[in-house]
Amino acid sequence: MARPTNRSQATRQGAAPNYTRVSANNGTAAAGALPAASSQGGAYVILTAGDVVVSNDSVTAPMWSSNNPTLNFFYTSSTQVSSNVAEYYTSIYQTASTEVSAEIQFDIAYGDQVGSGSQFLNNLVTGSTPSRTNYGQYRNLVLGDENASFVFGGVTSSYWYAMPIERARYKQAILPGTWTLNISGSTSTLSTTADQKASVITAMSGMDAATYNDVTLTGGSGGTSVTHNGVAGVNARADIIVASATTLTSIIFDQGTYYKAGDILTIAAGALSTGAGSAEVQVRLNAPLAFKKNAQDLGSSVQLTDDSKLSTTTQFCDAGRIFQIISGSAGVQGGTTQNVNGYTAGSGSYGFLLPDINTLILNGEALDAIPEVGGINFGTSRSFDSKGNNSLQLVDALQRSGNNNLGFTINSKEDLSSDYIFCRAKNSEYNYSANPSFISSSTGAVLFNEFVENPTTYITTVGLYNISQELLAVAKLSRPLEKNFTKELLVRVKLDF
Amino acid sequence: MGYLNNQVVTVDAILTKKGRELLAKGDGSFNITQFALSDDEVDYTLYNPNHPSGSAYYGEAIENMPLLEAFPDETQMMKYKLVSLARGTAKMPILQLGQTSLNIANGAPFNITPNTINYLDGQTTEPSGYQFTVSDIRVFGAFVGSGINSAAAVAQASTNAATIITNGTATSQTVIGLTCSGNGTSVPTLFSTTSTLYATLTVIGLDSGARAQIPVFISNKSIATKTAAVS
Repeated sequence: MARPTNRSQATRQGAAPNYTRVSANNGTAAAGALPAASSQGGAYVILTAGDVVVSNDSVTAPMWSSNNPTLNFFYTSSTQVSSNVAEYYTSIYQTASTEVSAEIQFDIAYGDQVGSGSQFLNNLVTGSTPSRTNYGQYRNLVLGDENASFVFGGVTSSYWYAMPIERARYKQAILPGTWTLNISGSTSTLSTTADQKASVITAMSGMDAATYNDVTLTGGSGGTSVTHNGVAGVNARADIIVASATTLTSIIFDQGTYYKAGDILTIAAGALSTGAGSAEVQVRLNAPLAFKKNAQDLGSSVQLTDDSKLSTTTQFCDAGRIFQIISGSAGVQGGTTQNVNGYTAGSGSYGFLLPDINTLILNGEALDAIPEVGGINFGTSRSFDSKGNNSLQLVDALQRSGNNNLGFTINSKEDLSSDYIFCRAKNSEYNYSANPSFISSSTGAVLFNEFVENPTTYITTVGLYNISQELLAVAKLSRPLEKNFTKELLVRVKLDF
Repeated sequence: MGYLNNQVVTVDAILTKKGRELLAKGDGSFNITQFALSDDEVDYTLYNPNHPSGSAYYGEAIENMPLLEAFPDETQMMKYKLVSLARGTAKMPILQLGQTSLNIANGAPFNITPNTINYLDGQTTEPSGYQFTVSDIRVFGAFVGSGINSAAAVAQASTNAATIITNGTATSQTVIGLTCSGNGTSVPTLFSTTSTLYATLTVIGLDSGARAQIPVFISNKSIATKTAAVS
């Protein structure tokens, strides 16, 4: 490394300084000249271009409050939920919103191209709803074209869930390829009309309109046949909700008690008896009723990440980089029922990751798809002019996963610009001090006789100045560093912006 | 065989208040062009040239001293700069201001011309001039340096010309010259809760590195007089 041009080797030896320092103030001394009186001392050294290096380093950090990488609890604010703003978005907190430490982590907004799933803003303007407003807002932000549609992995979807991360949680952007989002199906209720495979229940006797809890389904007697997980006669517990003497509203099977992914429960025609201590309940079916797996009971949850590690080229949209959301975790594709590219079968990818605007957009159609094709039977409410509370439904789905410690893990990334400034103290420099303890009296005599020929100083601080010699930045060493005429020093000062 | 210590000392710097101010200005004044070293916190009386273990241990007490973290107040850092002087120097340069404090009434003028002794033969002013820094510019209605035309002085004057002295923030201000002059503030609201404003004035010889600091007292006598006259 070349020395600064404003310093040169002196020609004098002995007691005279063996260098010429050009004052940082007047800059008048010429290289090679004998040291002028004005340049025999001084405290400032001018940096040259080679002494300053600008470097960009990436710094990653957990996204959530308290440097927590995973969010397992998803709280909402009842105040917000009951307000008009809930029609647009729902804010998620890491703890109860009334807690002092509560901070918004991210928001959930439901967007629908035709405005379904929320009520008209004004009954005189049909179709103008918050969900449509959300759709237009993100269409402008992401697509930049009012005529464009959201195409997730080659499939157009007209509704989605946007999840913008709260600004205070990150400094720059989401770190792609490192996050995992777990969502569990939206309902634990098996509807007789949604999931039955055969005919409907047409008649029941001995049942009043009520909810019968903890009904024990027994097999093998009285004409009742229960096949659970392929094994006849295995008990299963359920709640039976009866709307009237002739209408079975639903049978809700206990979650996680007997069922797991792939289970199919078949109830043949016959009587079902309640457990001990309960009134007898008979459900008569005129035909075998086969229940397909419920989204929750049969484990139809999905684990999502992005395809940034799989893509060879990065795609860009009006919102910067865009990655497809696929099944998997931490950037690694996973899942068994999806297409090979991690998408759903027929509904495209699970959404977009937009790291530059720190937003995830989840494809509504992919979530609503049945589990066999990669969905979770989410059940987005798309009724017209009706509050669908879809964002709250997604909160519930997130919390169901969170209850199993399968939450939302994500990191942020920041490109930190740093100046590295190399401060060099040559052997003949900085060997005297203006420190008052360095002198012994008001005459200025140095403290010890040893300091006359062999002065020793101890460097504790490096100051960085502008041309006006204003102190812009300062760095402290961890311990004093000895400096004398036999030592040289190189200090690398790092200044982050 | 042993390993040579070839490590570069690496330290993290923090911005000073002045640095943040200039960075926020965005006018290019935040541009690091030079550095200086100091030995703040070091008490050289702890240096023991009579240490029984020999010269390698003379500075034992100093070298083992844990240091404090940096302060963002630029007036509290780099107080005692290390300087480069000819080997054999027996007396350190000393700055003389001719007064131990600056006591003026608000609006009253002042003038300070430092001298440096033990530095140049027969000459008591440093060719590069002196740096005058007031810790709170609000105490002065005017604050200028004069008598020198170095690059630093010109740049400093240019920066100051674009700075409006306000009564809103307590930031330091620096001028460069052989002499600094100005007057105490005439902003009466600054005296609303006190009869005297206080600051410090630090003077540094730009060639010698010598430093002196005096307190500044601005009393509100004339304001009281004016108020009385009006009523």
